[in-house]
Amino acid sequence: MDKTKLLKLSITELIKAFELGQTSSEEATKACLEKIKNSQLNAVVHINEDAINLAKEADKKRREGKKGRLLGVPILLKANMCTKDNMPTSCCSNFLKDFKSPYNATVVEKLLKEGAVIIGKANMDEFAMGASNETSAFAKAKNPHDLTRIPGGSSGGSAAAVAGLECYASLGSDTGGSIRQPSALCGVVGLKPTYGSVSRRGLVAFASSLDQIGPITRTVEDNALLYEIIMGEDEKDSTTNRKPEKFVQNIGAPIKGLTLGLAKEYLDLPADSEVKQTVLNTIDFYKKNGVKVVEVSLPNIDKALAVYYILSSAEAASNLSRFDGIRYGKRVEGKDLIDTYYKSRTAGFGAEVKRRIMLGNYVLSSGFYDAYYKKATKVQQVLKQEFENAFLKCDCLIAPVCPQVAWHFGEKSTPISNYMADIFTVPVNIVGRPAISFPCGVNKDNMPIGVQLIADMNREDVLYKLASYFEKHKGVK
Amino acid sequence: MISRADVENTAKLSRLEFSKEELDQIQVDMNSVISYMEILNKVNTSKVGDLVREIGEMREDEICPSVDPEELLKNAPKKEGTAFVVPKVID
Repeated sequence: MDKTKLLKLSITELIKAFELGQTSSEEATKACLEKIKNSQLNAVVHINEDAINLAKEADKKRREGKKGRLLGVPILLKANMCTKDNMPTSCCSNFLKDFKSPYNATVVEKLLKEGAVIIGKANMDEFAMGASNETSAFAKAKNPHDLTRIPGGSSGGSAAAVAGLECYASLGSDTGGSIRQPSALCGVVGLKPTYGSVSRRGLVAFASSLDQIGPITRTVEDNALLYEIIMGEDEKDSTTNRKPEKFVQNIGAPIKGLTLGLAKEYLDLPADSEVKQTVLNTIDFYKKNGVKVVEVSLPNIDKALAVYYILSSAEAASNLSRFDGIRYGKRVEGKDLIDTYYKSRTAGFGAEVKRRIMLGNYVLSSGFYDAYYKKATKVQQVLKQEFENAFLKCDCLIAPVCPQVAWHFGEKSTPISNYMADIFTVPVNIVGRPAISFPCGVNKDNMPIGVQLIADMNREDVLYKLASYFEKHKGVK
Repeated sequence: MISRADVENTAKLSRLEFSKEELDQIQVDMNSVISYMEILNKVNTSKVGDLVREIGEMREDEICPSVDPEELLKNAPKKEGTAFVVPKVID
C-alpha cells in the first residue's frame, strides 16, 4: 500500500486492511519507524528495537487465525509507563534516563493481550510536569502543524506523534489536562477517563489522586476502542472500581434529546476570542442537531487552578521523595547518606520538577498546612458539590480546552503564565469526572482548536456519542 | 510572603541544593504562585468537613510470588550480591 495512505489510516481502517490482505503489521510498523527516524518532531524518545519482530509475529498470528482487537497495530506509550522490554521508563528525566522497569504496567499488559505492537515511547514534560513539553530533559517535541510551536503538554510527544502520523494511537496520562490540552493543540482526540477507571499500576506517579491514563487517537471511534481495552478494575490498583464496559457502540449513536450544560463562569475564564468563538460555534452545532442547551452554575470554577497546584504539588513532593538514588535511578555519591540524597536529587531533577517539589513541601509543612493544603481539599469538596449540582440538570458540560492555540517556544517565561494554560482542564481532575477533547476548528493561522466535553462519573458513553456525531457531521478528522 | 528562611527550610525538607541565585529565583517564583493561591480565601469553607479519602476494599494478605530480586537489582546504582550498597550510615 502507498505509504502516505497507509500511515493516514485509522486503527479501524488499518485492521480492515490487514484482514483484506492489503497491508501487514510489518509494513505498517516499518512505515511508522521510518517516519519517526526522519522526523523533526522529537515526538518519540525511545524506540522498541523488537518492534519489527513483534509485527512479524502479529502477522503470523493473523495468518493462523488468532484474534486480538489490536493485533498488529503500532502504538506508542508516554515515557512514564513501565514496560519490561529493551526500552527505559525514563519520564524524560535525567534521574530515570537508564531505568528499565522489571514489570509491565497494567495498561501495557492489556494492550499486549490484544496484540498491539508497542513501537516506542513518546516525549513528555519531565515527570509530566509542564504544559508545553519544554521541561523534557531530552528534547523539545514540536507541533506537527507548525514546527516553531509547542505541541502542548505534558503528553506532548504522544499527541504530536499521533497528529504527525508516526503511530496509529498513543497513551498519555492526564493529571491536570496532560492528555486533553496537547490533543487540542495538535488537533487529535484525547480522553481523560473517570478517576478509578484505568489502572495506574506501572504509571510513574505524579499526583496519585488525580492521575489517569487515557488514549490519544485520530478518530473518536479509535479512542473508544482503545479506552474499552485499557479500562476496568485491577486488583493491583485499589482505586480502580469499574467493571469492563463497551464504548464503541456509542459511535454514531443519536444525540437528540441529550442536554448540554453551559456554565457562564466556566466560559468566562480568560481565553482568546478565536478559541471562545469556535466553542460557541460548536454549541450552536449541537443546538441545531437536537441537543438541548441549559444554563448551569459553577460559581467557584475560578478557584480550581489554585486548588490544583496545591494538591498536585503536595502529592508530587511526596511521590517524588522515593527518588533518592539508592535503589534505582541516578546516584551522585556524597560524603554521607543524607548528602547522597541531596546530590542525587539535585543532579537528577530539572528546574520545573524542583519547583513543584518545593511548592508541595511548602504547602505541606507545619505552619502552612492548614492555610494551603487543608484549605485546598475543602475547596475541592465545594467544587465537587457544584459539579454534582450541575449534572442534575445536564448530561454534559462544554468548555474550551486551552485558552489559546499552540504557542511559540519560550513564549511563556514565568511559572504562573505556564500554569494558566491549564485553567480549563484542571477542574475536571479535581472533581474526578471524565472529559474528551476533540478538534472543533482552526484559528486564522490554521492552528487547531479543541473543545472539551465533560460528563458525570462513569459516563464516557455520552462523551463518545456527542464527539463522534460532531466529527462525522462537521467533517473534522 | 515566603521568607528566605522558609525557602531554605523547604529546600532542606526537599533534599535539594540550590545556589544563591537559584534560591533568589525560586523565592520569587514561589511567592508569585502562593500569592495567586490566596484566591481560595474567598471561599467560605467553615461548613465543609475535613476530607476523608475513601479506601477501597482491603484484601487479605497472601504470600505470592513477587518480582525477582535479581531483576530489581539490575537498576541499582551500586550493589553487592543481593544487596544495595549505600553510603555508611553509622560511624
